[in-house]
Amino acid sequence: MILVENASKWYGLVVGINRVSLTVEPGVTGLLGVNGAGKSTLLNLMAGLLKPSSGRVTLDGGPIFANPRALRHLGYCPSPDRFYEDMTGEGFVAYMGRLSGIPKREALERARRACDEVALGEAVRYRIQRMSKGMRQKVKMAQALVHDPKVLLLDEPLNGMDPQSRTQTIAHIRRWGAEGRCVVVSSHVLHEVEAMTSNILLLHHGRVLASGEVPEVREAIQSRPLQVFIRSENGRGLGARLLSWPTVKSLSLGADDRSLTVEVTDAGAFYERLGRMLAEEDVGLEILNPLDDNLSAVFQYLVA
Amino acid sequence: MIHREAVLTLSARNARQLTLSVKGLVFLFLLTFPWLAALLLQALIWKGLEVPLGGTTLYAMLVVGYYQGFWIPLSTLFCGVAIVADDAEGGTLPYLFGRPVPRWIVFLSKFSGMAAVLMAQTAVSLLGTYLLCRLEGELFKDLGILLQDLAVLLLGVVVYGGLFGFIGIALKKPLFWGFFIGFGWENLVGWLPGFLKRLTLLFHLHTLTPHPTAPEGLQNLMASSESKAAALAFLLVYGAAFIALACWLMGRIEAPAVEREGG
Repeated sequence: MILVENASKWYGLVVGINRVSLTVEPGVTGLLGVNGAGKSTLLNLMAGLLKPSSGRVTLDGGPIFANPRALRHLGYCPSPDRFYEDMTGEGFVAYMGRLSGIPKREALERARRACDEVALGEAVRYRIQRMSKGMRQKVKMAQALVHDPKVLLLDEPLNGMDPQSRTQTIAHIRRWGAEGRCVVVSSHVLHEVEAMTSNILLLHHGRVLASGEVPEVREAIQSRPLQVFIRSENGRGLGARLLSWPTVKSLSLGADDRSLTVEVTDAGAFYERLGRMLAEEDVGLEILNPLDDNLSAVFQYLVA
Repeated sequence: MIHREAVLTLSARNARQLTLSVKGLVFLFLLTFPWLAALLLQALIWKGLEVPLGGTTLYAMLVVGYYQGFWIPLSTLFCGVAIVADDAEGGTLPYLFGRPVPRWIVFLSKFSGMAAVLMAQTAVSLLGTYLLCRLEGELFKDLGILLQDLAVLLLGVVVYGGLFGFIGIALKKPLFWGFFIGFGWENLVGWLPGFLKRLTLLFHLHTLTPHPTAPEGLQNLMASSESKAAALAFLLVYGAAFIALACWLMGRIEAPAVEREGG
């Protein structure tokens, strides 16, 4: 079990993740967030490649960073497309197996099994430099599996895969989770993660925004207060109507009598009702702009 | 040994990379230079031309000037720095650091692969140079000197390799700093009178060398102030310290798998 306790990671003045606490248990956990949310930083911390600036990241009670005892149980599939290009797929996976202490002949057998498991097919004998992006992605997954770890950390594993490979990989990930492994999968595409697991963790600006089952996370996001800027021909009249809505917490009218800053408690319900109103009547709406753009972006892709 | 497989595979791969790469081929070419020089001398002698130096002198000059002053610093600079820098720049370091093998073993394994290749290449090249320089005289007359030279050069590979391996982990732009130290500091300070030259590797290697390392006056200034035992001790301590520091640093560096800008 991986335990992240109040962990932060800064790159100079840039925050990677900020006071994140979570527990990764057997099964599949989806790590969701827009680019730059901190997913890869968190996975790198869990893979023992980064040291937390503060807090702790442990596997079964022991620290992970540069700790061979913990790394024995971890398989990490990194996101960057980097390899020893001169090696064959099978050779690369076997090399990683030998680095995990598996004798040469056994490492080759295990490499073949791992490559079969990710359906690499005939491509195992190709040099990596000749492989397509999807094949390379499978090689990365196979090297994470070769030493049979109980924890799998997969950073954007479906990148570059064709639809058939995606479907296969999703099935593999579900199976590994069902077998009792702890599988953490990062993605910025909700429906991909939803196909693998209903247990997700939403990261935003290096913080855990919400975690749990997908419906709970959606609800958590929707119920967050959000400020919306509106300008309409009749701002005062529109404001008066909006104030009667239960989702509107407060409202301020600009000096021009046309601009409104509305604080809403349930963005989903607010947008839904506003949409209905705009469809039914012309309120002279000129601008509708969420003031918290980032949160809005997260919200939009979550509910899309 | 628990990490036997990791040691074997890491050292073998590093050795293979050094021999079957463009860099390896360039180094092989550089190693034939002393042979070409010796052959040229023999050709001139054979043609009956008057040459200002004989094979023995040329051999001594090549050992001190070429092997010690150029080949060993240059080859260990490029190969030592690359022990970690190649993986760091190629983005493959996370694969190595994500495996259950202590990081100091990763460094030592790759270092030993590098040292084995450079030692073998140096030994073959030196032996060839010795033989080509001795075509005119008795081949085995100075066998003791050849063995001494070989020992000093191999020690040089290890100590310079440790220095540049350490620089490859510790500093950004390691090639720049490697050149600065290997060919700036070493060549400048190593020839100065006083204590400071003890902080160079070249000075101690020169002390151990059984040939004059400079014109007589300068030679006295350079080597007379140190015994061979002290030079050996200095080199062993330096080598051990560089390698130990590199191993220690390996356990502390971070190797996140992240996309680099533009790459």
